Amino acid sequence: MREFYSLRILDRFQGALEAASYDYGLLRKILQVQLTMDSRRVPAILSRTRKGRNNASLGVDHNAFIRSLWFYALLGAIVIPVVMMTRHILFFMSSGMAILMFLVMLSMISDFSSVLLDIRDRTLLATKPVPTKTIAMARTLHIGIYLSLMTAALSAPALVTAIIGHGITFFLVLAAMLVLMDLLIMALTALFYFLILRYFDGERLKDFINYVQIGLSMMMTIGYQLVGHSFQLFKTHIVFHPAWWQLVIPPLWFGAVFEVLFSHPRGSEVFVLAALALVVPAVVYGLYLRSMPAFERRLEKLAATSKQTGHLSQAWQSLYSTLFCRNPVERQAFVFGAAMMTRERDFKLKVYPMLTMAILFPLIMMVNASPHHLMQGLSSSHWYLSIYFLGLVIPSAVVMMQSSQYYKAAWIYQTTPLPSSALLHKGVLKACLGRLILPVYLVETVIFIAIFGPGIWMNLIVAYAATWLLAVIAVLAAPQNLPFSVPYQMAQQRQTYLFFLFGALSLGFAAIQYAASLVPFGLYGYFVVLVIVTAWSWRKVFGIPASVQ
Amino acid sequence: MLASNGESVISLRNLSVSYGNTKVLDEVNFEVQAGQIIGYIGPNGAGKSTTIKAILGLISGYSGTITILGHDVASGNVAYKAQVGYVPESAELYEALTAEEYLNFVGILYGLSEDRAAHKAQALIQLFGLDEAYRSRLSSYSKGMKQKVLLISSLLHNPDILFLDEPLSGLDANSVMVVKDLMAELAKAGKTIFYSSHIMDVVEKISNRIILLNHGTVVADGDFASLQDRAHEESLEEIFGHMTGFLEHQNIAHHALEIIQDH
Repeated sequence: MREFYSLRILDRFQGALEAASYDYGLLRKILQVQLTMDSRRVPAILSRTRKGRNNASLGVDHNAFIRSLWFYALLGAIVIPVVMMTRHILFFMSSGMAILMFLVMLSMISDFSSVLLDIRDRTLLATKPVPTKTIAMARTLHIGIYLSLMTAALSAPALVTAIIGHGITFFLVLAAMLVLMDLLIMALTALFYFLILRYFDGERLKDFINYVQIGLSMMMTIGYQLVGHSFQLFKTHIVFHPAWWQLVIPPLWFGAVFEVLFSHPRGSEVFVLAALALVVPAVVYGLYLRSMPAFERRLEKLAATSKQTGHLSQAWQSLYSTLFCRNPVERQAFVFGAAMMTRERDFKLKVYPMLTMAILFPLIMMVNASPHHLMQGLSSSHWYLSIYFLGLVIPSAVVMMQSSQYYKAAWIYQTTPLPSSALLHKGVLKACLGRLILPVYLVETVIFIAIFGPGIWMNLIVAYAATWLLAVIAVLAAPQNLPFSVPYQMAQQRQTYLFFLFGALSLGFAAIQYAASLVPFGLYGYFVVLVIVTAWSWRKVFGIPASVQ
Repeated sequence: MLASNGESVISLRNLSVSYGNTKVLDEVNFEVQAGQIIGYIGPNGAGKSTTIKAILGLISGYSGTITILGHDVASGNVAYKAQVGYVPESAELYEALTAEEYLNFVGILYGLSEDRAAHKAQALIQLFGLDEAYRSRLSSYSKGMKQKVLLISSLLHNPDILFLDEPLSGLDANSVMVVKDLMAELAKAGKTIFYSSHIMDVVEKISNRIILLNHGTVVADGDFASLQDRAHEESLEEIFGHMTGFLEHQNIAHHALEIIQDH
């Protein structure tokens, strides 16, 4: 087993921990085993890149998290201009702390929730004569090690800027504030989970975490798109007006500390805020340490879960599937595929951010293209063709729906006498188009009609028809596997290539549609041709070979 | 579609399977007639699950011939699978689905109509006491509950041959009795049950023929009485030990105790 550097640092606190009646030898051993196991885990933030996955699948004994730290450092560069500011120190340091706090909090929830909520070690640890207090402390330190590493990486650009721009004292104060911030975040997250587990079941909590993860992946991608706009803030004049609601905004407390120490604070409000920066983290963390053993017991709830599907949703499901499929085999495959795609958290984590981006990207691009006369020139432009961003989601969805966390259950395909998998593929693909793409398309339709007016309806219909053709092309271009039959690690081998292929294809379809719209009635003619070609290709690809009929 | 008397429903001729350089099955031969309950036993790694997988067409690289109900498994025609039910050793299911969704899907894969599959699944679920969890996701099921779902999914299509790999694992005592009686009823109705287990008492009681596999070859094949004669042992447990050349269990236990008590 490897000797971890973080544990050697921990050794310096041995005396303090033993004084607080923790069994240090045991604590250290538990942490060492857990850190070893972690070196085979991939963090959510990197799971969409190939490198992280390969290491995980090969079981390479390097902590993927440590290797991903540079990524956090890059992310943290966003606060450099904010920390550089010498005027309006309260405003800018509060903003800087707000950004860092936001990023740390998201990562805490998405990457370290698994550590906080890990119950697999319970059967091992809780059955042995190990005091609950020590187990709870091991958990706290385990998260603490990662959280401080990540915060260090994330705030490294800010800290370097601080030491260059403001000197060593400023740097030390910033470092101290970051420690307080970590304590606050960790305690708040744990207490929040504690609260959820008290009133809801573990399944609900996992769903909640899943949505935060989806939000995180999305935020990473669109965050930098918006940076350009945020710089406009710097032009405006900033005056601080004290108000009661500022008392509940933690970044403002930390900002106030800088104001008190490095500026000329006016009014007592700033001192109150600065005091909160010291008091609240201490109090909340104390509360957290006290409730940790109770939290450990509450975690038991994560194991027991039950979620009933109502009769209504059952009826709705069968009605909706009948809308898309007439063949019973195909229809059951549709129901099966829809259930898997809307419930499996890994699938959601990989595909849902892209779906949301298919809505947001066109809007961001429109805003970037016309920042000043917002919405004015747009209604007469052709930006509605950006609905073809949906085309980029299709190959990912098609590849991902071949994988599942439960891929081993695919034995069922082989023990049953289904002569051809064509109907299976067809049903699941329709589920993808009907349950994933169509709702997003409808949302986009409403937004676009609001912007461009109802005159573009034919364009939108043609674009939806094109997604069905794109879907069948994706099936041909993607590796051929039965639905939900391979592990996720295997799924994304050809993703990048497919992504570019479909970028080009979507652009091509948009261009053809634009060209068709220039001719009178061209759009209608194009629609008819598109429908015929699509119907023909679906029949060709999913036709059951005569030999097995 | 039942085979008439004397004709084999399952026939293995010189079945050999290798993984790399390791020979898992070496020239396995046997014939099975309709209505038999066959206990298929052997030590861990003897090749029991591999045999069943080969018969079901889950393994492609084998030599020899496997014939099920007169169809050659290697021919690529999968129609025979409509007459076969299978419970795998490990309960791998699509756990994001509810039992209802899973069973409806499996029913369709076996070629049943939707209504018929739904109706049968619901009725069997009720008999096995799972009606309250019927619309819950399988991920929330216990091991025994999943096992019941597996058993039901292997029976939905009224198969003529059943392959059960440790079918009783995780089941409570009452369900074990139900399943054992069900197997007897199925055999009486002319169905063939190919049953693999490590629980010798159960195999001894329910099987009317026992096939013992060791190191990939059949070392004993016959009814319980003939096995008793051959090995000069009373219980199947002892016969098993005798035939697989394992006689030192008491010795091992004694050594283990010494190590445990060592200070």
